[in-house]
Amino acid sequence: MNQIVLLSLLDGVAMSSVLFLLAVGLSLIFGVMRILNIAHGGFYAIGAYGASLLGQYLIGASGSWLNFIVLLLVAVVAGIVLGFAVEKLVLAKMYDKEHVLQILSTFAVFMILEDGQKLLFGVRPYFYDAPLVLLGTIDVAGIFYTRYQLVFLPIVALLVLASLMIFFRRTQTGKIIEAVIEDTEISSTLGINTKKIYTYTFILGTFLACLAGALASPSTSIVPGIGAEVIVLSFAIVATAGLGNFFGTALTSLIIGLAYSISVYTYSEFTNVIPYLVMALILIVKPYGLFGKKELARL
Amino acid sequence: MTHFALKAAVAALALPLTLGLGSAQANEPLRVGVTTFLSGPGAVFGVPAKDAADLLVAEINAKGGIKGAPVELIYLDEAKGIDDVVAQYKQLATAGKVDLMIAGLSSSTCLALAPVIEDFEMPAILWDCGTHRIFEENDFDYIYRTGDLTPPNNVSIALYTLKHNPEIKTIAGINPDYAFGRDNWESFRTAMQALDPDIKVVAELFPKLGASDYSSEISRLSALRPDVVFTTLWGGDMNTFIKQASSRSLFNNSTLVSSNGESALQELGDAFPEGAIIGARGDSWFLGPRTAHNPEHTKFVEDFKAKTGHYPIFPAYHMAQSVTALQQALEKGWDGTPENLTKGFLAGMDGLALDNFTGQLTIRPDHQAIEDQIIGVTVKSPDYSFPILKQMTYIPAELITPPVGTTTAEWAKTLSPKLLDQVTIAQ
Repeated sequence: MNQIVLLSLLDGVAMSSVLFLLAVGLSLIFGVMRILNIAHGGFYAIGAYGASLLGQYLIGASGSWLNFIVLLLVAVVAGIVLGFAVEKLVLAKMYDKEHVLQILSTFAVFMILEDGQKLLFGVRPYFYDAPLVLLGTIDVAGIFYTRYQLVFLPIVALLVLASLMIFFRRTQTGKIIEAVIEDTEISSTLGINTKKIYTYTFILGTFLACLAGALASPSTSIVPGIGAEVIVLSFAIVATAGLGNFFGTALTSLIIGLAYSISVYTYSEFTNVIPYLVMALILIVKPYGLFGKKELARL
Repeated sequence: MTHFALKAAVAALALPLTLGLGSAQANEPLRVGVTTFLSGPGAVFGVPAKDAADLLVAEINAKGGIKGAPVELIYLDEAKGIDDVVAQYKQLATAGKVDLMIAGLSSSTCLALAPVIEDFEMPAILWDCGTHRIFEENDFDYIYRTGDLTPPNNVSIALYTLKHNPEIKTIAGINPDYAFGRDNWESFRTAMQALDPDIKVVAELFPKLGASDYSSEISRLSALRPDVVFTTLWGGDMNTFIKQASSRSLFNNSTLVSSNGESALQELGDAFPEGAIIGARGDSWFLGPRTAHNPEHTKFVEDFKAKTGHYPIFPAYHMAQSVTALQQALEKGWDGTPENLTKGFLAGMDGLALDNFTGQLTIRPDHQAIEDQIIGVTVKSPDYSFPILKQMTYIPAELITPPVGTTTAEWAKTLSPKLLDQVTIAQ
């Protein structure tokens, strides 16, 4: 019994790190720009393909600490290039349109990215696990865990959470973004370049999506369709957390991760619905999410 | 010119025209609709199958087609969803743009499309789907299946596993959460417990199809240490599971058993564990002993590798079985005229016995093919960058397939430990 509790906790924490990294980019864009960015899944997939292929090409099967630089670089470059291009060419033209059209435009970007991936990378699965193998395994109560999943990813998730919270609460740019979230019109009249803020925010969100993909790539097969898998789950986490709330996203990821791993050990028939069961239960009690606020709609 | 000479002249002029018309009929293409996965995760199976079809049809056409008719393949992508495939088929059939079908990588496609094809009274061969329900719940006149089905896949590997590892006491399953995964697990579990009633199931896990992480499942399996971990995960899911499980030493204590695992050997390469018991969904494998000295088989493997860079896997062989069965049936039963195509197909398919580079199969009165199942144990090889199979054994079809007129559920109740005495595996 103690072993089950310990293993559930460890697996839960490992899984929640991945979930948080997956969802935080969507949370940012949803929270700041009020756009449900369906292209989030496409950015995640690009990050994964990029990290996997570049790592294989530049470093090879043996792997080295350079792999981790490659992971970060792929996320930064893809985030800036894709984020800038999509925001300027697509979203900037949609800000004054209805929400549903904005969502459809991000859906169109997602479809383009999906087919683009198939053209560029083909349909066979890619698997490049050198960074994961490099960090080795750790024995916990007779069960082997990979350090990558049990130690590295949770540390990265915590760093991302801390960085975002410091950025938004302690830096001027972060506070400006919060002002734009609060009231775009008044921010604009105060001389804030709201268009630039939207661009920066979208780039940051895209970077986070690509980073999630790059970090997930050493532990999973990269196949057509991985982007689509991510969108629904990310949305469930973001909606449960409350829009744009990073701490809420982290807490929700932890709840879902723990609930999932406990169900694997106890009633495994429920595992696939756990994220959505958690979402439903929380939203019944708190309809705006764990840390969400009721907002007045402006007419 | 006399009246007779005029008639003769006209007839002489007309004769080449009528002959020309006759041979134009024989040269009308035979349009074969093929459903397979061309995109999405299923493409890892669907595209090799398409490659096999293209290769074989090019050869058939180079030799003059089937009864003089060149074969034309029209592909429908199953990845677009069942509704889309059915709608596309109906469009083609209604417009008279397709003459026969080779259908169904996925069981859901077979179950949805077969009744529609039957309604059109169009000849069809099901090439890969394994659901036992297709002929147990339906009585088709025009539909045949050259591909094998779920019960023999799993009963054969259960027999092999128990003969190879008679000391097994505990089994666990990790299979994708949809019909294929659940049916295969049910079939394997039932067989194992019928063959050895002392066997205990310690875990039944069904992660969703396309899951990117099996960490929690692997932790649980590591803690339970079952003697056997059975899986029918495929494609990217199988790669992820094997890699994650191997890096966490799961297979140090548990034997991996997979009735469809052959398709993952090349993808995973040396990451695939040694000592795993693997099936290939039929009697075809590129290094199988039965076809080792068959020159047609050697040519097929070489041509396939030249075209794709990989050795053929079971979906490619399944497609090859269907294409060669179609060719053999029509060569035997068809007179080459469009109006007699269906009659010719049915005459040729009835009781068809295929014995060629794809292996051996026989079509039963219920239109289902039966074939032996090749099972082996993985071992690293200096000649290949992936493990190959040793101790290969062909488990006889009649021991592992529900007989005509008996449902799988009824037949499963007749399985007993006595069946183990009828099987010998290679040492």
